[in-house]
Amino acid sequence: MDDATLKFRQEFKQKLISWLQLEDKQPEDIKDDEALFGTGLGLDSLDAVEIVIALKREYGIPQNAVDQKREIFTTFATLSDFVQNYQQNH
Amino acid sequence: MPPEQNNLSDSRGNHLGIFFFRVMLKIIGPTCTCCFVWCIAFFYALFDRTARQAAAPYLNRRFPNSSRLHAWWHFYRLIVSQGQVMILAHWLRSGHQVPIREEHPERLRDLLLTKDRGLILLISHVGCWQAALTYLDTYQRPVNLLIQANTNANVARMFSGQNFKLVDNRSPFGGLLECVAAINRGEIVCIMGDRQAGESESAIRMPLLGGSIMIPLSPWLLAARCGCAIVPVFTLMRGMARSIDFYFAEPIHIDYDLPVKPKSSCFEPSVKKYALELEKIASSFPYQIFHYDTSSAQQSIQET
Repeated sequence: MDDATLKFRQEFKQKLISWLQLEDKQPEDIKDDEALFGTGLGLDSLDAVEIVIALKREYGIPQNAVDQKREIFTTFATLSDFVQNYQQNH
Repeated sequence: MPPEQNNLSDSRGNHLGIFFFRVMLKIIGPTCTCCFVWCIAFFYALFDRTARQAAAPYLNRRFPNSSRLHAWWHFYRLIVSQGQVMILAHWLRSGHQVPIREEHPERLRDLLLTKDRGLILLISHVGCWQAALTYLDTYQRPVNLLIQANTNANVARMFSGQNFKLVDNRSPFGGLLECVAAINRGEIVCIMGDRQAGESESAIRMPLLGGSIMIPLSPWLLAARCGCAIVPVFTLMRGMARSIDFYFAEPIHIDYDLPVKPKSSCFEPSVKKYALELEKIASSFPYQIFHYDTSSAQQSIQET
C-alpha cells in the first residue's frame, strides 16, 4: 500500500467517525478489512444513508455512482478505495 | 435482514376462507359481505387466543378498567373491523371504487404542486391503508412503497401494472438508498410509520395511550437528509366498507443540515407530532388500529 493510500485511509477513518458520530471509536479501531455493516463495525441502514449523503457533500460523488457499486460498502478498505479512485478520476 | 414482525392482519384468513369471501363479494357485494363478517368474527373472538393476546396490550391501554365481558366485546369489534377492512381491500383490489371523503387534501396537493422534490407519505396500520396507495394514482407521480417483505406478495398483486414500485426492506440497507434516490427524483415514498422492521432497526420510543410505542427512525432520517416533507395520512373505513375517509395531517418538516448523523433526540419533536396524530385516531376510531407494538407495551406496563 502506498503512502498516499495510507494517508487517505487514515483521514477517511476520521471523517467516517465524525459523520456517523461514532463517539466510542478511534481511527485505529477501524480495521481496513473489517465489515462495515452487521458484524464488524456494526453500522446500519441509517448509517448507509448518512455515508451516501456525506460522499455527495464532501466529495461530489453522486448517488447513482454508489448505487452501481454496492459492493464498496463491504469493508472500510473497499469504501475508502472507491472514494480515493473517484477523486483521482474526476 | 430484519426479522419479520406479525401484526393482526398478517395472520388472518386462510386460502379457503379468502376464496369464500371473494365469491361472496362477487355475489352479494361488500356491504352484505361485511355483515357476514360479524358471524365469522364471532368464532375468531371466541377461539383465537393468539389474536386476542396480540391485541390485548393495545385494548388494555385504549379501554382501561374494562370488565372481562367488555374487554371481549372490544376485541370482537376489533376483529370485525379488521375483517371488514380486508373485505374493502379486496374490493378495491378487484378494481372497484368506493366514495372517498378527504380531510385537508391540500396539505399533500400543495406540496406536490409547488415542489419538485419528492416527499414521504407516512402511512400506518390504521383502517384501510392500502386505499391510500390507490388514491395516490391521481397525482401522476411515481410512488414507491417501502414494505416488509412478508406482505409484498399481497400488495404486489394489488398494485401490479400501476405506477408503483415496491421497495423490499430486506434488500441491502433496508431499501433506504432506493428511497433516497426516489425522493431526489421527485417521487413519493410511502413508509409504514408505526412498525419497526425488527429489533435491529433504529427506533425511538414515544408515548401512546399511556404506554409507549417504538417508532422507526428511517422515514425521519430520510426526510432530514433529503430535505423533504413527511405527510402522515390515515385512511379510515366508514360504515360497512361504504366509504373511506382520508385524513392528511399537517406536513412535518425537519430542519437539519449539520454534516454529522443526527441523534435520535433530534427527531423527537417531529416524531411526537406523528404519535399525537396516531393517538387522536386511536381515540376516535379505536377499532381501526391494527398494529400495536406489543413488546414495548408489555415492557412499559412492567416499567410502570
